[in-house]
Amino acid sequence: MIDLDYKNLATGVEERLDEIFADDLRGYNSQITKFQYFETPSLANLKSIIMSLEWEVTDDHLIDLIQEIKRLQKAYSENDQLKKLLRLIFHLGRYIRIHKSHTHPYIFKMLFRFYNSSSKIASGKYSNHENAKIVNNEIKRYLSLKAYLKRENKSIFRRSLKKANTLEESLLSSIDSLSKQKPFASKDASKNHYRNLNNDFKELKKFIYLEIKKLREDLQRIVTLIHKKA
Amino acid sequence: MAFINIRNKEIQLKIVYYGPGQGGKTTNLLYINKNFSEKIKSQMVTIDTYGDRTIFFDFFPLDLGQINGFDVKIQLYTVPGQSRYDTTRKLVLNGVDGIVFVADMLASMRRKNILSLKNLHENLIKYHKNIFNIPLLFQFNKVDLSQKGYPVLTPERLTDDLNRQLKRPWITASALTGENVALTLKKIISMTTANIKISLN
Repeated sequence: MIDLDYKNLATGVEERLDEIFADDLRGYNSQITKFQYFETPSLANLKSIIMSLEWEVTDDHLIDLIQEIKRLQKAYSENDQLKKLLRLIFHLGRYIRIHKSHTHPYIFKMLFRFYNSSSKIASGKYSNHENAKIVNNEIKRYLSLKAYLKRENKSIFRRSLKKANTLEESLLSSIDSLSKQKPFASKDASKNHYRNLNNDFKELKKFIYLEIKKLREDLQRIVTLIHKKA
Repeated sequence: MAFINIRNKEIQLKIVYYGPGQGGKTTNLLYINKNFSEKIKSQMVTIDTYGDRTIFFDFFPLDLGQINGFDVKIQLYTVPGQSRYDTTRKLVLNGVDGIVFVADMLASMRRKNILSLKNLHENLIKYHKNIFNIPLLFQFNKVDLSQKGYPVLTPERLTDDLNRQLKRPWITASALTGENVALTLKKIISMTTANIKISLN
């Protein structure tokens, strides 16, 4: 096994590059900054994550959001008002995690709104009373959003149920009309063939009827559950 | 992976300039080509290929000469930044040893920077490479625009967006004026060379 002395090689390469680019390297600030992670409480990361989420909902961004909220909750452990807002953001994050790309667009607006209010509180420019007022307003908004989404979900189920009923009717009527149709085959075709075809139609009709019935029952059960929860 | 030929005493490294479209990757190489081609004794080549329709990528072979008995050659590549040329980007990334991520400091390019870095991460995975292990240097390009009154992203914001987890070195630059272009190249070559761990049977 041959080992290359890569440490000396790296030094040699660096010296050669200094020779080549000597004039240029003198001309500018040769300071390369090693990134320092923000240890001080900062909401900048949170905004960046929310913007990324608005652009594309991915598991990575959602994990980032949860981690960032946990970090901020620790960093602002003494700021109860801010912690409440962070909790609201966390709940919205959980909603996005469930609904992914089907998330209601208003959720992202709300995320930005909560972020803005959080940065207002974190800035320390407002009194405790003003902070409490900001948070209470946001909680009210959150609750009304929650109620709105519940209503939306209910109406979606109602629409689905109606759609299923219409589908059932249209399918059954088309099958009926098909089975009543006189066969257009030639006179030579055997009678058994038409009888089999008729039986197949009847079976198909029965199958579709049962499937749609099950579907309707499921939807009704979900609607009843929602009503009970509400 | 670095190409090492012990018999011919030759080392070849591949460095790719990656980033969003119009970010200044080619301008970086053009600056090197214009100012150092005599010292490097090579010329930049723009290659027209087919597959993703008509596309371009730039290739710049850099001969550093004999170092510690080895002939060290660096191949510099740029990728087309536009999202529709992903096939080419994947192709260019094959065998990459070091990456300069040229991020655009223009405020309006914030999302494109993030998406391009995400795309780099995904494309590296296809070659079983990890963005966390590969030598990677961030160049925040177009720093000169802030003096001209354009809305630009601060290095802090860019590091926050792109480098929060990676924690790699970064540098502000202006490929147009040449500010820190050579320094970027020097740094990535040094990082890549220092990263070679070779044992040949």
